[in-house]
Amino acid sequence: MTFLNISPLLTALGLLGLAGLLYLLQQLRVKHQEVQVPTLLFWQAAVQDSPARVFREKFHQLWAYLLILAICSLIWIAIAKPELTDDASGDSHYVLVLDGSAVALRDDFQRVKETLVDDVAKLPVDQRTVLWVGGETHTLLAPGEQSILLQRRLEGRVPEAAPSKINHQLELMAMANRKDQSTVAIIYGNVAVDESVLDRVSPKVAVFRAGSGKIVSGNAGIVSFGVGEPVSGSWDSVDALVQVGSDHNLNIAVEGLRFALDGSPLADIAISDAGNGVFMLRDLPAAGGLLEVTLADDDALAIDNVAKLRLPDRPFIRIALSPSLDGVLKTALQADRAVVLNTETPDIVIRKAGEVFSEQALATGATLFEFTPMAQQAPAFLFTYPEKEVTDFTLLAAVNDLGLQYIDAAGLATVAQQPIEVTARAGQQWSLSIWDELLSENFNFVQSRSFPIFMAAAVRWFSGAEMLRPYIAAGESLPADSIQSSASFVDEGGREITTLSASFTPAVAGSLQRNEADPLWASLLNEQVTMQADQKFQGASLGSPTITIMSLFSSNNLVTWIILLVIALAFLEWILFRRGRIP
Amino acid sequence: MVSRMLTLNELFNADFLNALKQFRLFARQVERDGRPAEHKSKALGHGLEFKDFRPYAPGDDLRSVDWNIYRRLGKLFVRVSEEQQDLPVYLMPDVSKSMYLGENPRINAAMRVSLALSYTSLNQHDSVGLFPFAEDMQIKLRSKSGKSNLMSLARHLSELRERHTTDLAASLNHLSSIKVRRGLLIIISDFFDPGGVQAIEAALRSVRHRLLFVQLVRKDDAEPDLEGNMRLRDCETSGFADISVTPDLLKRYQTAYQAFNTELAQLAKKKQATLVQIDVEEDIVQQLSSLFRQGGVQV
Repeated sequence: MTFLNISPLLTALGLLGLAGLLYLLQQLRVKHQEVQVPTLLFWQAAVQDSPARVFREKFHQLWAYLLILAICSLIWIAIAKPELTDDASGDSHYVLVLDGSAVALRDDFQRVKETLVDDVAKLPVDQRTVLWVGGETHTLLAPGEQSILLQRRLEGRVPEAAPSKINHQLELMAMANRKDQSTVAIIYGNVAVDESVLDRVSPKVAVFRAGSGKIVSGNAGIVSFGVGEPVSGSWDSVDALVQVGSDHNLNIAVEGLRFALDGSPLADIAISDAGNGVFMLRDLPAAGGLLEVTLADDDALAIDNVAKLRLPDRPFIRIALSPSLDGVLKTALQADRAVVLNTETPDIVIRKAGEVFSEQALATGATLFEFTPMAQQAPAFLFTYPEKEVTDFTLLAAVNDLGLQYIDAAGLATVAQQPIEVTARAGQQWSLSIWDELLSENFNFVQSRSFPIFMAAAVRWFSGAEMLRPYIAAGESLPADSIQSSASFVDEGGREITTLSASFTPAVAGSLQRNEADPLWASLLNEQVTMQADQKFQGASLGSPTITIMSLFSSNNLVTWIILLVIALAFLEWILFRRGRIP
Repeated sequence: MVSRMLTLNELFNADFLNALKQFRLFARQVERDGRPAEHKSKALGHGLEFKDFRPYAPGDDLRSVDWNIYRRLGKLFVRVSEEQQDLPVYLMPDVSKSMYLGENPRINAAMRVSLALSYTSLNQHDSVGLFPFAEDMQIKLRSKSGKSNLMSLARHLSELRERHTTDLAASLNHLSSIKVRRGLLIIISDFFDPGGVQAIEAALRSVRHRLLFVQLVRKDDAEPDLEGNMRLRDCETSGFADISVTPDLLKRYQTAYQAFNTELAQLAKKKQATLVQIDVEEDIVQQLSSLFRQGGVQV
């Protein structure tokens, strides 16, 4: 037994102090109220069997002393807040993990929740934490919170369309430093735990499983779905890959799949079966459509039978190139499959400073990319940006997106005999002005291998062309350069996500709303979820926990029992007093 | 708590005295050698109640000769009557400290009862003596008869003063040592003698009077209103007892008090005495009215 409020030593000293204090009180002279009576005859006869408490008399009232000592000691112990500890609970902290991933969709989730609630009631309130591990992890019941709160917080809660994060959570538990206290993790659900994770977290975390049942096999689902640059090399199209997995060796033929683009079945698209459930779709139009693939047959889990992906919108970039720059830039631009030289309705106008060229296009919103003599412009790269729309952060991101990091700035500075400086200033519209001299052979900039990259990145950035997102899967980070630096999304659960240059990971499958563009779509694409019935994905075998702490004798209830005992003893004292057994 | 005793005016109250007119004391038989009065005596002589005839003897009063019998029988017979004599009444009110305890002390009731019985006796031409007692007996008033002495007796009563302990044995011994006629001894007391009923019984052995015990009681004698830790101090002996009042203790007290009353009643029966309980907190006249309901009290 331990005491939560007062140390065991202090508790024992307190008990001794109480015994001594009560002894002294028993020894003290009782202050009598004096009353005159006509005779003592009858009182003397009456008190012969029931003498009053007198100073320093031996314990004639030993039972009275023991009774009051018992009552005071129990109150003192209740204040110390005793807590029963035995082999089952010990000093361990219990972390009860409720799996809320898509794996739990195949469990009897209601029964799992009931098991969890039952087990929580058996554990000391200060020694257990209940976690929800679904698309995100959060605490359902913190230590010290009453169990009744858990029932309310579980009401209406259902598994999320997200892969399991249980392994990650176990590793976090192992990292958490609990002084002199081991952790017992009890997983509620059938979610698999990796053997390697168990090895890493042991012995800090002992892992058990509760509320599990046999997993029914018979599921197939889409485990991979993504797009890439087309084999054909075309700028305005992409190739897509679909992989279907099954936990019962089901061979899915192309006929078992349904493809749709923006809700309409795909027609005239070359689909090839690469074997092992992998299918390739060639030259899909990169026009921002929503590509959807669905398994034709129903099975054990519906959520992995469909996957969607927003295809990139990649129109050709129209550039009006000044004849004065033809000799230097035309070859590089023509080599870029995304670029079309168009002098009539260009997106970008490239010219030398002071030239009169495509003024009308510039007036209608085309971006200006010009070359200025060093004598007229101090910085090597000068951005002009619309002040109201751009923040410093966006500008910095734009510099990175332009690929300036690939330029040999040190070499250019040596030739120019001055620092290569990038400067930005406010203006009416986006434009970029760089030194005209950089095009000369002296700087060797045009001849360098980074020049085509710089030009390709520059024209894409100016045109606002979307980057290719190979895939978006719940719980999986997107490649860092496939999403805009500071994109904002609202996911299926209404949560707003701002990437802020961090790696972007949608927590759950579903749509991702963007402010001024068609929504993206995150698919589940998780082998663990789809094929958990397969022996290969079932992970480590976990034992069942033994929670033997009786709820009646939990820490809180122990105090309740003590208070009830105190009341009973006080009642006993009252009865003895009424019967004249104690004064 | 200050005791408030009755003054002479309060005691000698016309209403109170008027209410007493109806009361009478009957003695079964009084001793010879008394003065003519209203009680039957063992003496035969010139009373009003005819008793018998006896032959004439020289010296007999010729007025008692029954001449009708002489005419018929030719022999002289005299009429013998039962003499009615007085009953000497000796009042012994208790003036120990216990009688003066409390806001409405028992002594007030004792004074009223004494006056009531004195009034009744004097009305019946009996003589009344007043011998208050505590640790010893005092002689306040030797036997006096005649209604005119009532005022004097009332004054003596109002002048009674608190003394110390109750010692009924010593007081009765003192009474026995005085040459007085046999009569009715009325002890008006709470009977809380430190020696208990046994001491009273022993003291009564030397008493040759008829006895009337007037026990003055109050409600909290039987049901004391006490609680908590108390030091009880005996108002007469100054002795004390520390008690922790519990229901059980109160119960035992009541048992002891009840036993005392039973013993006192048995003593009265044994001594052929009359025992009367008067509640000092109730109206005295009303209680005496109940007592005299049958037209009088026979002692």
